[in-house]
Amino acid sequence: MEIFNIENLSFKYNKSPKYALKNINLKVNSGEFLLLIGQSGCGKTTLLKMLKKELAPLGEKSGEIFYKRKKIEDLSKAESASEIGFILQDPDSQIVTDKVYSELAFGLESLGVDKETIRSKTAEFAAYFGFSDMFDRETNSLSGGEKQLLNLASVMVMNPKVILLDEPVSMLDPIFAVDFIHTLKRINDDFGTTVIIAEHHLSEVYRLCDKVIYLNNGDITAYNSPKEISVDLKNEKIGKTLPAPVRLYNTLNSDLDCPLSVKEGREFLSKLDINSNYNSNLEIKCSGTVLSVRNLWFRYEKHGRDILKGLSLNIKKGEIYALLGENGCGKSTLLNVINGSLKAYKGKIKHNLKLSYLPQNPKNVFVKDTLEDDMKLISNSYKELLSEFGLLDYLKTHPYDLSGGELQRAAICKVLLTKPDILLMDEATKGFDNFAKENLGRILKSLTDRGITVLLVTHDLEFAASFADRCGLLFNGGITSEGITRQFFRENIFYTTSAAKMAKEIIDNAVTVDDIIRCVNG
Amino acid sequence: MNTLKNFNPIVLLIYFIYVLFISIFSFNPILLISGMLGAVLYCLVVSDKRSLLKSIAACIIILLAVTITNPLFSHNGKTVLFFINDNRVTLEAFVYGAVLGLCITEVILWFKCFNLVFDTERFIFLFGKISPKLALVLSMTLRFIPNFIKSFREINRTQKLISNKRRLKRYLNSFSAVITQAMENSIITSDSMNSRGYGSKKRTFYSRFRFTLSDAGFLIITSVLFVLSVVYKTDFTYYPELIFPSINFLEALGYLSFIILTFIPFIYELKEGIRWKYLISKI
Repeated sequence: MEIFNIENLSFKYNKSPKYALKNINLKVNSGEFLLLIGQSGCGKTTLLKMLKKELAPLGEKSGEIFYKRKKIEDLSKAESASEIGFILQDPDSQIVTDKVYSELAFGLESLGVDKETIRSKTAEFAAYFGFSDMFDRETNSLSGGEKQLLNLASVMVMNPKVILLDEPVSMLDPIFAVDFIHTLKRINDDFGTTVIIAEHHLSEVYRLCDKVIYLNNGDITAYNSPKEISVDLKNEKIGKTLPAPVRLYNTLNSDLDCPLSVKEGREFLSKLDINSNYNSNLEIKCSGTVLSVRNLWFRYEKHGRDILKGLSLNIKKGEIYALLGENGCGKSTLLNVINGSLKAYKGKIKHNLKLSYLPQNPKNVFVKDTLEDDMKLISNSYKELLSEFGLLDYLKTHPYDLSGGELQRAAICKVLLTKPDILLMDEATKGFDNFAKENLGRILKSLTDRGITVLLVTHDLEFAASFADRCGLLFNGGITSEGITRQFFRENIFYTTSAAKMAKEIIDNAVTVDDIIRCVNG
Repeated sequence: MNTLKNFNPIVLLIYFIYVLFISIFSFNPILLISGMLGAVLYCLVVSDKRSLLKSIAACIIILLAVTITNPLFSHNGKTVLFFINDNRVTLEAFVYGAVLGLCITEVILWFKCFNLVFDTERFIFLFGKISPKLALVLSMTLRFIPNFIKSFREINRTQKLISNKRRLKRYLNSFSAVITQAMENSIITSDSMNSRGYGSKKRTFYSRFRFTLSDAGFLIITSVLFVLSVVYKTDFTYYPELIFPSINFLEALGYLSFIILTFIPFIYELKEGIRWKYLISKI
């Protein structure tokens, strides 16, 4: 049975000259798991919001959307709320109330459901999502991943027929992101709930979904199963953002079946004629320590537990050092101790150069109403730098109106005005799509050419593998393993890129898809 | 352990109103002392000793201050003790001051007990009984305030590292930034509320509290004790002469009722503690 039927849908925002969606025709069957992909600004969010009456943007609309053969405008507010669930990108701001149980109850309360029904429904879904132990926790005390899971649970409580998700995992760290996607798949399997998800972090969702829709400039350019669509996307720009096994397959022009998971990727590789060793130089050009941390101990409260336990670290001049580690292992704390915001109770930090710091949320760098005013706070010679970063057109723009990538670039600009020698970056790629990430990586490389050293904290393994010179893993308050990027990822089994997982024991030293491709003969 | 919390918040609220009502309007030192004892013993069982000691110290200071200052301003009373600047300092004024001090400290201690029992969840429940929307606003505020403070700190910390502006200027800048961010986020929150049907129907209110048989029992017992202690109350006279009325059987019943009323939290806590120990010993 079809649940959504979109007929000739076009849409134009009021102030914009061009169409955000062009003549979209789509039938969605009940129980399908659909993935929407496309570059930022291609209309993914617009399309999703059009399917949810309350969130539909204002503008010129033509064509019709039918939900269960009923025009979407004719749905009552209560019907739309309970049958069509919507999850937004930001896990934090979506939460309304102060306690987990009241958040779960929020939707049902709005629908006027009686207290006893709410009691049993919330209990049921708290158990399903593993919130039983957190039932009376403060929502503020949850981690980002738990918050997003709570948002999903508080929608599921209303027993929706469809869930629409707008980049739900882009702000989460990879482990939680995978968890979230698997939960979504489980919901889809257990209840037959239709899922339509827009996402650019494709590693798990791509292989789990039924169909992929590729939106390009407001147009459905391709629509097919994940295996089939891989080939269609081969020559598109989006092809570079597909999961590692698919990228590998697309570059190699093979007539075998397209691999989606690491396991299939390994099978695929074993059928090819390949060199079993990727020759790479493991030397690094950098020398001379610019920042050294010796035996650092830190805790937040007098009787609290130690976050850093005798941590030591050496950063060399002009390198990009990526510090990896799971959520809450003390990565951000370490940066704050190094930059002086927090005081370690034992240990030494030695550097005689200017440090600068970029926080996880680049918005926090800006305090004024225009980019220009903000830059002027630091120095008046900002024009040259801004033009170099391609931001000269945005002088009069409010910083918060910039896109994620632009905002990050502007933040780097502002920090560079303080003429730092060492740049500390906290989770620089949060919420970025692959293009923005690559852009950032290139900028970081150009900074090191100016002699600036970069210490970045991240859980983005692919990013670290592509751009860092050295990597370290922070675990249990200390650096447990450290090495030149290639060596680091080669030796790790779990904490490594999917390309390295595929190549393990088949090709030595290969940690990115490009490495593997170079080893394939013919 | 705080088992008193398990009663329905409305029943507990009524109980606290009973105790405070009698304490404030009786102005009877015996009742006030009994009330203080009841509150202190309850705090001793459920809260940490240090904060209790602090409160007691504060109470003693207030008590002394009020006892000493009252005779300086009130010169009524028959029994003159001495003169200061030709003003009479009377025994009655001292006693009245002491009772006033007792009254204030007793109310403070009972508010301490009130805080131990009424956390935010129970507050919201009480408001939810009046209006579900009010409860939602309260709950959203309780989430908003710590979030706001946290992001202010984060922005300010970042600004401190980047810009060399003076402290006040930096605080102002950070404050305006955090307000802008909060407004931006509130758009997302309202989207999330709308998409979950906010305003589509008359809101109901969910709380985890029920009205059980033991709540009814608690309500009945406390109400009976309250009525008894109000009906058979004894009035003290302070001015112009101290008159302590004699106590016969019915007045004694009134006193006893109030003493039991104020000791209920302590007794209940003790009983639950013993029951727990007994159960453990059986295992």
